[in-house]
Amino acid sequence: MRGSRLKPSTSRRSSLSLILVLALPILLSACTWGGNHSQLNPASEPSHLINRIWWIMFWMSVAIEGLVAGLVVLALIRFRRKAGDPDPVQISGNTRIEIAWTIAPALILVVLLVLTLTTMINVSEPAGDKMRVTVTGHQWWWEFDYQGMNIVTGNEMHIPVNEPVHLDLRSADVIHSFWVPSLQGKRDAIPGHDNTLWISADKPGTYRGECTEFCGPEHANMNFIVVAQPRTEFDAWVKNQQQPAATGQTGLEAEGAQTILTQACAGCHTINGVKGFAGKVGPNLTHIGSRQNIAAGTLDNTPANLARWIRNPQEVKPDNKMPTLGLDDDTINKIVAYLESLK
Amino acid sequence: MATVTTPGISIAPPPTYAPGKSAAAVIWDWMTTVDHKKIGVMYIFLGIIYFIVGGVEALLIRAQLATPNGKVLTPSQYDQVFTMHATTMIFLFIIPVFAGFANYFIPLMIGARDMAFPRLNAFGLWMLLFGGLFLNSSFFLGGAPDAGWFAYAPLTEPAYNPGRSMDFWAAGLTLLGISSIVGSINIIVTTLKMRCPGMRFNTLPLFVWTTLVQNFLLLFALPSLTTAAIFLLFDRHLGTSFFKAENGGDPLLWQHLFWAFGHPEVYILILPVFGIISETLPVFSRKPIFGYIFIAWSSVAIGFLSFVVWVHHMFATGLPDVALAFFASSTTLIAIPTAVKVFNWTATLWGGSIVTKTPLLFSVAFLTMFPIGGLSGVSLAVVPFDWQITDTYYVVAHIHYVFFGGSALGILAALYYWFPKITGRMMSEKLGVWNFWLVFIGLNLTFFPMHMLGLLGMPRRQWTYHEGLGWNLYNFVASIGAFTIAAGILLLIINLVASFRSGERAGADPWDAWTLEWATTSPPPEYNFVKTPVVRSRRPLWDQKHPDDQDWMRGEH
Ligand code: HEC
Ligand SMILES: [Cu+2]
Ligand SMILES: [Cu+2]
Repeated sequence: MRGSRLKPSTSRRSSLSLILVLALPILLSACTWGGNHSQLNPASEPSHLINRIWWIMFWMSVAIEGLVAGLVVLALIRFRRKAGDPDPVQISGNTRIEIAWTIAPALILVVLLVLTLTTMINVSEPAGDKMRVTVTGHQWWWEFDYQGMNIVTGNEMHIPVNEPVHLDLRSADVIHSFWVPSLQGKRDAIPGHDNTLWISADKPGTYRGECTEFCGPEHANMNFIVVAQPRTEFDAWVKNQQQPAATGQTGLEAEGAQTILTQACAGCHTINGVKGFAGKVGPNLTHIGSRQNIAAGTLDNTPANLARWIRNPQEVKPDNKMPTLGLDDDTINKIVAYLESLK
Repeated sequence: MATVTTPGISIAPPPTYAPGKSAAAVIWDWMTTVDHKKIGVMYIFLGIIYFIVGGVEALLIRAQLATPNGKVLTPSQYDQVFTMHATTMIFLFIIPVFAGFANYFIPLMIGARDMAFPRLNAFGLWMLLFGGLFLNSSFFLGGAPDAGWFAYAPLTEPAYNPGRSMDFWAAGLTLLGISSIVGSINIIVTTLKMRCPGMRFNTLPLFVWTTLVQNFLLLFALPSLTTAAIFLLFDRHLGTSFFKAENGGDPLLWQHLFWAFGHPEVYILILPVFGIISETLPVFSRKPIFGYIFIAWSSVAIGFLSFVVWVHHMFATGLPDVALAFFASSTTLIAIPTAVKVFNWTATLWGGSIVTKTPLLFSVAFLTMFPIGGLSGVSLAVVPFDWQITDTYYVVAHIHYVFFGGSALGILAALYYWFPKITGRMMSEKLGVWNFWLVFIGLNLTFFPMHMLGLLGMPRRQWTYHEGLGWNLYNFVASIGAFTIAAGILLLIINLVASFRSGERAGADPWDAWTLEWATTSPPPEYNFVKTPVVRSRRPLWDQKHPDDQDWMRGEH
């Protein structure tokens, strides 16, 4: 009593198109393997170890998905109903097969679990004295305070190559998450929790980092860079950062150094060596001229961009915590000249 | 030998949509109905409406992210849209549609005349309608919730979120929670108490099995969310400090409460689909489900395990390594019962005589897409890898292979499979096949590149991104894919409307199926069955159609 609707439909299924759809992105991805901000591009011991499990898992998954999808497509081709076909044999199970395919994935998973646990141990923080940096997430920028070294920077951290650095993660407001994909997995900065992490880089370079916990409207623009330098270069950087801010030399810079005192900036920003400039709301500006980016990676640090930022931060990075102050171009130019001289 | 049992195939004419009633009378009838089928239809209808709402939100997201520095949405608009997209799809689309199918089909499949508590049933539906309207009214009353569907404290505390939007969220979800709890009690009691003679646990259709497990999960998981939401309302309005670190509260408490609900929730959103697939695959392969017992009991195993894996959402929060190791193990464990199911479904197809109608196309698509989400899920249990990849687009890819490649494809299979029963008319195969290919290709275009985005370091929930990071192409492809899916869904809507009005007549049993819902007219009369059916095996209609080769005669259940 088979209904007429059960005659095979004539729609043509092309298993090729399925394979193409699945494979295309993989092929495409071969061209762009990620820059300095990808876990596929590891530059430290822990990220190498993690990258290795990723590739093991990747090929395992390809094999399993290939097996399932392959069998399904094969079944569709081989067992497609043709007009007049009799009912197939009514098989409803086989306990031995069931046991086999319960145990098989279990074994694979045990291997994966062992890999997980050993890798967890292998990427944990090495013992010994280290440079320690307090990393504080703010809506929407990062503060790096080198403990006992009298250096505070914003959105740009320098580290010596091949030396593990200990990080104390703190939050000034909501939860943020500190992530430098090429160097280390992420860790959250949670109010009331003293989380820690460690990073190192095995070759010099600039590594991009980002906030990966949703922290409000400008979560997208809460990036930073980690600059890994050979020890001597790093020492030079430290020495420079420890200096108080430069005093304006030439005409415009000197005027800027005066003008900035009359503006609201001091209430929110710190400039070491300038009296009264001790605000904690925004990034420390003592060496702003030496930094590569403005406003947590939103803009490159050029005089034109800096002017754009000071003129209208809300246009550049909507909803951020620095208000548009309505300064005139003359004032802005002077301030920019001064800030850019703070190398 | 015992007498051959025959479920009563009703020959009564379909009574619904009877002519001669005024429009007002019809509306009043639907508004006051306690008939499980009408309530089921309204659940499904509401769910589809919200699917469209959530889909439009998804298109806004993909329009904004199609290119770097997109200008379609402002940051705060983006936050509202992505928060409401997830909230809508989970609480107003998937859960209600499942509730609809359960309401409509569980009584039919177990040979009952109605749900155990018909009035409570109506109450659950109207609570859902009210809760959904309440939640969405926030768009017009000062802004929709914008802290993510996970609503992590302290971003939701008044200090960081002073408006009313999170109040709408917390109160709205509490209302929806009441609706769900009422519904699940009803479904559980119905399944436990209203089965027709001969319908034992071992003969229960698998859709009923997995939905039963799902409703137990709802019942035990939701209180955790409701508790969290009420604590949040206290923090916001009564000055308590459950989640405020500065006063000795703990933001992580929120995460534990939320994910203690949230992880079972993931299975709440997929278990009924496991059941749907276990109904369609056998019917369209013309042979019984392979490994019934294993599918049924692996669902129960998943149900239990789903309560002990929640911390895998919190691997990067700095919990002690021992805790992480425990939750990595439990998460790994839950993959086993899921794998067993996938193998059994594949074996059901194997050796069958496969009829490639649209319900089968969607079922088979589920069977090939869902494992991609399952496999990426396993990779997230690998703690160090999770440290790299959590909160990136890789996870967005993962959940969408589970929820779209899994839940949504399963729902589409169910719509095409059961539409003839509900309306008495067939859906168009031609439109159905187009619908299928657009959705299938679209979903892979949208979600597959997101794996790459995550691996290349793109965090999720960002309203924009910079140029020159290697993300442009993948984002663009994903956006094209989203609009391809939308075209497919448009065809679905057209198909539903056109087939409802003028589809081919279906008859009682258009697929030559085996479970009891096909033993009555399409649509069924208000009393479902002329006489209470009596069953002897898992496939009562097979038995009826093959008097000489009934399942129980071969020693099958
Ligand atoms: C109400 C507090 C406030 C005031 C007043 C204020 N700023 Fe800011 N500023 C901030 C905050 C907060 C940021 C970080 C914005 C972000 O990236 O989200 C910032 C960022 C900056 C940056 C970029 C720093 C970096 O490392 O990326 C510069 C430069 C800057 N401000 C200069 C100024 C100047 C000049 C003034 C005075 C004309 C000023 N600010 C006034 C709060 C303030
Ligand atoms: Cu952040
Ligand atoms: Cu963030």
